[in-house]
Amino acid sequence: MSEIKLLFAGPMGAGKTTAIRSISEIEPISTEVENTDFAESSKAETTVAMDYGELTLDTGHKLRLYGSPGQRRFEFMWPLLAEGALGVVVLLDNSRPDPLADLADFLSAFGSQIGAGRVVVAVGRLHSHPHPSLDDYLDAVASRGHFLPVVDADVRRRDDVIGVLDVLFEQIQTVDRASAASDADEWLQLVQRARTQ
Amino acid sequence: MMNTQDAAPFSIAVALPTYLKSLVERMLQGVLREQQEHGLQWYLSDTANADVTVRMLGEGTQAISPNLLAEVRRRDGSVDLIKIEGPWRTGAMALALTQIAELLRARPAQEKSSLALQWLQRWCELRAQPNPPPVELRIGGRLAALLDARNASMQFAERSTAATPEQCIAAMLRDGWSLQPAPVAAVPATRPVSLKPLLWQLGLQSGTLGALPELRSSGALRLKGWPYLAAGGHPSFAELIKHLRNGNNNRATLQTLALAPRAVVDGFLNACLACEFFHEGGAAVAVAVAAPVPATTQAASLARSGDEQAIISAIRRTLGMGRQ
Repeated sequence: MSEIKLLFAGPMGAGKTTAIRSISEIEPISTEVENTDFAESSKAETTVAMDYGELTLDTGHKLRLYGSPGQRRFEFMWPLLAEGALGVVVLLDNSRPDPLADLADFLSAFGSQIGAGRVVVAVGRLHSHPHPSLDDYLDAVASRGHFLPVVDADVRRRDDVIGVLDVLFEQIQTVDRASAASDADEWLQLVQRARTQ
Repeated sequence: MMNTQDAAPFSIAVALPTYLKSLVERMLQGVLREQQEHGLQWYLSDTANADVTVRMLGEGTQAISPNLLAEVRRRDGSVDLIKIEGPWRTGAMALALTQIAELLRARPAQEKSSLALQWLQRWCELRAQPNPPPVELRIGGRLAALLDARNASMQFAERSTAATPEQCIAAMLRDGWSLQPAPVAAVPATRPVSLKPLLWQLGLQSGTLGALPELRSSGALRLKGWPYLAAGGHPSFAELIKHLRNGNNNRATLQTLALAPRAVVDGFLNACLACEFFHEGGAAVAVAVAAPVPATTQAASLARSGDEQAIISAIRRTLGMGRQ
């Protein structure tokens, strides 16, 4: 793998920069500008292009942490940024007007990553805004024919961010083990066929 | 004589040199009064009868030791030793006493599992009724919460009784519980909260006694979606979820796969059933088919998988995550 990267995606104000900051060893490099898109979010500043953070692993490799721009007009960039990523964390904000519509946007953008078991959705501000509930998210994901974890998280807490990554990694490893097992099965079948000939 | 009643006050004795004894007893009296305000009843006793005896930590040097040792005599006769670090600091003694009270109140795991299984069986019976009525949860004979089976929600009777699932279970163990249809639904004024975290905990804890009756048949089990309460749970949950995605397995086949100890598998299945994470009618229920994974993605995934295991382990180690 030439580059190890994780992508944090989600609408404006969902906490992508905060999540990256909680695990990055460098202050995230953000392209924060004054927000002029108050239809999307009321926050004063927002990220255009992307955020970037880094973590040096104990093997010496660098884990690159990218945060995608949240505005819908940058939708075309989301799958591009996800290409080659180890996984994608979609952060949603339950206090936004229609978080289930936000979910739908990101499910569409990351269809191939979801199919490969590389996406986890983390919903923030569930305690102050309990609707839609996690059950509603579960139904919304299922109704689109997907199967992926949707969990509650407060990205201001590092433990929560790590918990979300834990779910993502468990899922990736489970899918990888299944792929390896099916690969081994194919190899075994090939050997058995060769023996019978 | 040991304190055998959960509701009875706990007794504490001080076995320290005379010059220290009165000082510690005076300090304890203040802390015990505060504890009473938080619902923990204590009284000072003598060492022969006390549930807890506070001693010097170490060889009994004449100097004032920075730490004390609490000898906790449990109901089953076993003794636990708890180090009280910096007992002279405000809050340190109170924290230690709270932990000791938890220890004294702890019940054997079997009792907890038994409560969990009985509770869930009763809940499933009530929930299965046509137009299930609101259900009263009584703890120690008092109405603790009103449960709504249709929305899987609960409303605590009083704001002050709102509790985490663990606190609820501890209270039910201590004081007894009952679940019964509510005669006339006098809806409490508190905000409804999800019942599922409590159902999930009860499900997991019931696993040591086997599976709920609905899971003992041979019907296939299929998850509606990723059961969000499984996050952060036993490491085998991800594998169990994978095997329950497509409706190809049931309890018996999962146990054959030996992905986890039987109690963990049964606990997970009980929890998913209680939280209604399974499709009703098992695999027969039609759901939308997931978008196929593009072949290129699959191939890339396979090529990367060996490296990825190592990378994920490295990330876990670097971030100090428990599982590696």
